[in-house]
Amino acid sequence: MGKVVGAFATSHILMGSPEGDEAAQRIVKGLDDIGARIRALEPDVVYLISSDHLFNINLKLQPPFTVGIADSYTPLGDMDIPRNPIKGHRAAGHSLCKRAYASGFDPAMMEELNPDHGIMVPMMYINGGEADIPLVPILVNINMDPPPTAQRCFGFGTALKDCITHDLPDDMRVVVVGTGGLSHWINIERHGEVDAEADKAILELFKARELETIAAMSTEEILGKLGNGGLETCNWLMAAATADALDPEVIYYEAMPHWLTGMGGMAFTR
Amino acid sequence: MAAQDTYRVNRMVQDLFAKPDMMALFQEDRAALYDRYELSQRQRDAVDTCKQDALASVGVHPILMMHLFLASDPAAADHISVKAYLPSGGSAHG
Repeated sequence: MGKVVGAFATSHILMGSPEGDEAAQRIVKGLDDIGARIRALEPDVVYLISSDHLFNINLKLQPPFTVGIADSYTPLGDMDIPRNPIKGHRAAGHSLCKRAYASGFDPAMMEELNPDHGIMVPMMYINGGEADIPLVPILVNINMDPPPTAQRCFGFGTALKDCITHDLPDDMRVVVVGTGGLSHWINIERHGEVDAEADKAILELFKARELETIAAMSTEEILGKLGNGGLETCNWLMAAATADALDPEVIYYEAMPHWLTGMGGMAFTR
Repeated sequence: MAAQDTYRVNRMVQDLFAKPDMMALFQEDRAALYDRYELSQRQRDAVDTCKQDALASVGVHPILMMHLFLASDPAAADHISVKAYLPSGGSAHG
């Protein structure tokens, strides 16, 4: 059986420059910290859960969940992200799909994916310019209407945990990362708002391991409290679902209205 | 507006970053691009104004509006970038 050695959650955008922006500098420090912690855990694979921003999964075909099963991924290059290919982990992706199908989920499998910033900003810090940790990308389609519910995301996260602990090879060390959020309203009513109180409330729920409470939130409730971009909190929920034996800790939080989003990061480690 | 009409304009926008020749048309010959996707005059006007309210009124997906803003506005693309966060040389991470 494999082992979840750590789970993490982090927002996945950067804007402007950290020069002269102390909040941005604290975010970078938080991302650096998360990356260093992950590398110190020496994982054999990282399952990274994100939304795709309609670059790979668009309106033509709208699967609720998609799992990457490729040997490598070439970044899309949005946000000027370098397009150096990163390693994939085919066997770990395939194992997840097999477990998911046995657990009432039917994710699409993806051979070709050009990860956008949702995956690549966290991966920049996870690899830190020195590592090349194999990746299994999991895409949650928060952009379809209706999107997968928080309850379904929690269930899929539980299936991921079962895959890791029952199906992966003995002694395989696994890190799970959920990315996106926190509150942001993108090109809808309340565009540009950040709700720091709602962000802190959701962080408290994660800290208190109130995952069932988050999972019970309706899509409408999440949209109302955290915005359409805040639906990415479901990615955090999936990561947290794999880490019920680990201790939650908030690494960073900054309300960033000039980035149109609340930015946060958490660790679930021993 | 019929749903199929709404999909036409979304399909055009989502193709911009997926198909370089469509992006080239967007930059160089928008009328030809609009013809290719059979956009209505209202849709053409909305894309031309590139304003949130106008785009919403013709059903452009909020995330695809972001694609359109990035394609239309070099300053926005320059702001929503990791360039200032990369180590010097810009290719060490990844």
